[in-house]
Amino acid sequence: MLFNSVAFAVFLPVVFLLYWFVFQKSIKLRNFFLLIVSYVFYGWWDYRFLSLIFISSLVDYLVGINFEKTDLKAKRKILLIISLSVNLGFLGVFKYFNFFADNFTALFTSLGFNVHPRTINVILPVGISFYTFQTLSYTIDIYRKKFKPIKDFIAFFAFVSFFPQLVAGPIERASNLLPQFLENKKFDFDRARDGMRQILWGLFKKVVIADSCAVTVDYVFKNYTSLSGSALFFGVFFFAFQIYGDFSGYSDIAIGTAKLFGFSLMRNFNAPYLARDIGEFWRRWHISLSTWFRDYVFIPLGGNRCSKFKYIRNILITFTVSGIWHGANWTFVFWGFLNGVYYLPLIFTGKQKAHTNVIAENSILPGFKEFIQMSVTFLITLFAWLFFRAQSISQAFDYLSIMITKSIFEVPHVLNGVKNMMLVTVFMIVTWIHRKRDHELEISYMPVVLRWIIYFVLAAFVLYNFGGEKSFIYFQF
Amino acid sequence: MKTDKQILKFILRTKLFVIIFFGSIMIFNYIVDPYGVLRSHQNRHRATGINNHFVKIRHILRNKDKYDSFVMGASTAAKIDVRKIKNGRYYSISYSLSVPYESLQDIKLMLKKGVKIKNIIMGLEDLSYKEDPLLHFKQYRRFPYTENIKKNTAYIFKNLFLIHDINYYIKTIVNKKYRKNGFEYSTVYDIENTGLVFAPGLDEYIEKDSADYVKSEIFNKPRRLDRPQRIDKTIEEIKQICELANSENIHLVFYMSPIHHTTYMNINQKEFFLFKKKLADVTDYYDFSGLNSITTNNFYFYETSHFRFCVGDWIINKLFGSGFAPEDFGELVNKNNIAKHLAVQKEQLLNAGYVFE
Repeated sequence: MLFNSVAFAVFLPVVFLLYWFVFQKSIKLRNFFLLIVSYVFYGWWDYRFLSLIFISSLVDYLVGINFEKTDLKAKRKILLIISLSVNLGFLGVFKYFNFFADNFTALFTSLGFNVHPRTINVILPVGISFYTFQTLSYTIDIYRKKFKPIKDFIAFFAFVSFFPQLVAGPIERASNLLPQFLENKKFDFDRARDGMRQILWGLFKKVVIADSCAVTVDYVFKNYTSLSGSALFFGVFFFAFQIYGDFSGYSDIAIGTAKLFGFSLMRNFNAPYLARDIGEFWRRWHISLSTWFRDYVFIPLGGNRCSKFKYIRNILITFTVSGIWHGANWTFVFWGFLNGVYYLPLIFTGKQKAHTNVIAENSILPGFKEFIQMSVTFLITLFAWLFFRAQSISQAFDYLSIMITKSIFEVPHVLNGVKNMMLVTVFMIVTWIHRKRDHELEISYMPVVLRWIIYFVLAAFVLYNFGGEKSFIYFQF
Repeated sequence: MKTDKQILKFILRTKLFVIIFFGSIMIFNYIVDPYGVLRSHQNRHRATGINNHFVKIRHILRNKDKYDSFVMGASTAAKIDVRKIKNGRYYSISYSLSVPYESLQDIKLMLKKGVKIKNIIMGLEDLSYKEDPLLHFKQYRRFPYTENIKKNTAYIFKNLFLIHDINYYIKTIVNKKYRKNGFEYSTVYDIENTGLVFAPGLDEYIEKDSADYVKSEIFNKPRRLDRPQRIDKTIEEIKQICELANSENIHLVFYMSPIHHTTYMNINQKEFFLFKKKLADVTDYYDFSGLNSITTNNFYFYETSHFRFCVGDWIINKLFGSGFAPEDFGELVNKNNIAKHLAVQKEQLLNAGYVFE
């Protein structure tokens, strides 16, 4: 079920009413209800893949229970391997099998061998990378004795499949989300109202910003050989806002929806295009995934408490693996690696955490230096987004060779360019004004009349731009 | 208890927002009625096109005994003045980009709903095999009135509750008149009587200063329809219309519309000839297209898409064999003379400088 669909517009209020008026009698009953509606939510897309979530949940639940029964290191390791094998096995089969098979074939063919490995004809189950990582964090944390296993299997199953964040995150940690399934919930008017605001803002980002930019981006990437360099630049520029609007929009709707049910999900985006260096960008972009890779890949590799050489190696491996997480294509691998390379100057200068404060905290506008830093960071992320969006590495370089010509200084003629530019400008102004807040539509400080006018305007924009139910980009990951 | 009150307060606020939001959109849409389907539009002057297809079929089904004969076809067919045809009670089911597939569905629906049909005059042109009718289901201006009540109701609801094209709203609200060489005019939709669309004063204006009018630059811009052809499908649909007319004892006449020479010289004639040839194998028809004394004279056209009412009158005269019609205007084509007919038309085109691919 898509958040931007009529089905969800019916589903959400029905579930909300039943949740608060019927299923609050006991925690178990409430969790069971959440589990059922989460499975309905997922099954709406394809009920067959519910079995994967079920198996993943079951294996990790049993692994968790067995962890508690033993302190033997070898046994605990075996249990962890079982969890990793099952979860990463699913991911490998459904997401990467054909990619590796194709590359294996290409490699051996180039060496003169004739190999024909089998490929499988299967669609990628929506959200598999998200819920797999979420449930893995549970077993790894128990293995590290940072978290105690849960015995209530309904609560655990509900945690893995919690519908607001099931298919595209935020990738929650068991330590944050799971305890929330075990506590009593009381309806909080202010929190629910804030959730509605965040849902509205998320819809605006998805339906208005992302879907409008998508039209231009698709047009430019389809016709890039016949367009000017400036048009190609704006193709990538608008893609940066398409993917941001699309993914952070989803996260906002997810977090807002969870608030309606009394749950707090972690913040996933924090104005990433206001970042002053690439380190800050990654502390603001897809935070739940970045921190997951930090905790479960980068630190186990040795993190930064080692030689500089190993530190650099760990950074490059972590970013490259995060690229692969996004999809089975060399473009994602290159994108991840490139971001790792971007990070290296920060290591050499020791400025990895130079910017942890809020930008222009005590002033209305950024300083000149901050402005330059933001612009440079944005431009290098644009360069990386080109590889993310391209169909292949060669197409990306081809695109680049056409873009970086004299024609980059021409007046760009792109489909809906002016309209998108206006939308993006307004969007960034709102982001700038509310950079210190939890989300961009946290407007409780405004007078009620102004707030309602803003709601009406945003809702009107969403309704006006609603051109059918367009899927979210990150569903494919 | 306190929690319940808070939930109720939240629900009430949300409800209030939804009601005010959609309520104001509904009232606004109802008043503006951008596609003309929410309120009656008898003789209404408008600067934007309404969904003629939807409202006309709805009107016929609401007045099953009022008409027994129909002129069907694209917007050019709206220039056939049905009041001047005497062998039935005619209504013009003409609308923008109408194609035979839709006419077939309309005839089936009217028969099913008890409309007794005596005559059908159906206009065809190159767009008949170029326009994809399924696209119309996605277009507010062309969504058809169907047998499926749910679909019709959903369409009305979308008209009421969605926010439509802002430009269309503005044009409808401002209702700025059309301009032709400095002359301003509106269109009038006579949905509830004839189905015709009028532009009061326009013909008088053209005739008052015809020497200047024919030199207008609008006649240099061809009407374009760059879409893939679907000739075989269209011919199959026309075949079905013929079979249906036969079985229901309906007198059916086809004609190929006059096409302004600028447009005619810009269409793919290879495809058009193929369509005419295949059509002749299925049915006889009158061909008013081609380069003749009417289609080469700007005086007889509003622009390069639509001919004037006087041309429509000559079409009627030719179809019914009574009254005046220019001699070189229109020929009855059948499978026996189609080859010769096309050879003449090809010769005319070559002489006019048309290059066949």
